Amino acid sequence: MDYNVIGKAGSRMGTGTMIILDDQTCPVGMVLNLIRFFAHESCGFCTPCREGLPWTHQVLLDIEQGRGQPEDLETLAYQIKYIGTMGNTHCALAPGAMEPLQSALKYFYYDFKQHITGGRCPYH
Amino acid sequence: MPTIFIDGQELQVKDGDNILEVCLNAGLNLPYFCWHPAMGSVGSCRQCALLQYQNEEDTEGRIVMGCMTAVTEGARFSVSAEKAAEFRSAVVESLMLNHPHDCPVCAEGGECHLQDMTVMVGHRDRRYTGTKNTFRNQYLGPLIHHEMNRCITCYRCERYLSRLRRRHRPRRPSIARPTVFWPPAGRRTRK
Repeated sequence: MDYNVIGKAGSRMGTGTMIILDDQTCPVGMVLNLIRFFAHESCGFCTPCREGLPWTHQVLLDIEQGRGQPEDLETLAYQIKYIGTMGNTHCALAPGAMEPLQSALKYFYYDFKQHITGGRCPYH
Repeated sequence: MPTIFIDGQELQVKDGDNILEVCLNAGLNLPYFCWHPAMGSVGSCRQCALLQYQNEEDTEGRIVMGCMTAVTEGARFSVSAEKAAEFRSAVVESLMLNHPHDCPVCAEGGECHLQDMTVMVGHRDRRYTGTKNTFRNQYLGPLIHHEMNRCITCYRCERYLSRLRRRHRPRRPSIARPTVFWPPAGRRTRK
């Protein structure tokens, strides 16, 4: 395992920490927690990160709490493109925040869908 | 005098200029907030995005900030590219997430830089459904009226004040306080 392998899988090595989730843990909630952290950590210097991360957090919170709308998934995809591209923001914080969300949407798309259609988190 | 290409148009530019200055001088519509002719560039608003191509064969291009990109001989850019235009619209949409929507009663309404830039990029419909941040205003001395709820974080007030501070430090204690931009003081929210 090295930086390139993790990068290809859609995340970052960071400090080398690994969080392992069992099948009883909600992946949407896990990503929500990450985005909440990054939105809080944003220094606020540049616009996409300062405004985009709290917006992403709000959309994910709605989905997790059962208020999600079908178009929210489009909003998330839009945010990934808009603030997740290197060069669009001043530093790598926002692209780093978007990578786990991007891979979660890719690998756990069904869970996001279930939250929206069911109007609640299916894990609890 | 380097030669650069913007949307295929060949331009002779002054050495040391940035692309935003070149575009504005050439009469091209490139929106901006934080750049100022007297205070230079900081690259915080991300509004003056345009596409830069590596060479003639490059059709993809990558988004760069006009105010942060110096002119180099033979550099190729596009202001009208869809990717860049979408990004500029996204930046205005972001700025409008927390900005009040009371233009008709705002003192700046009609001569507002944000209003002009919003019209220029064509952003119209709001998608964000959350609450807006509210801030406490700060006293920035007798020369600047601070209205933090309307702040678009261009850092112009702070840059202006830091220049003044350097010049008048002993005589102007009222402008010696640091300007705070983030996070919102008190973290109150309103609908």
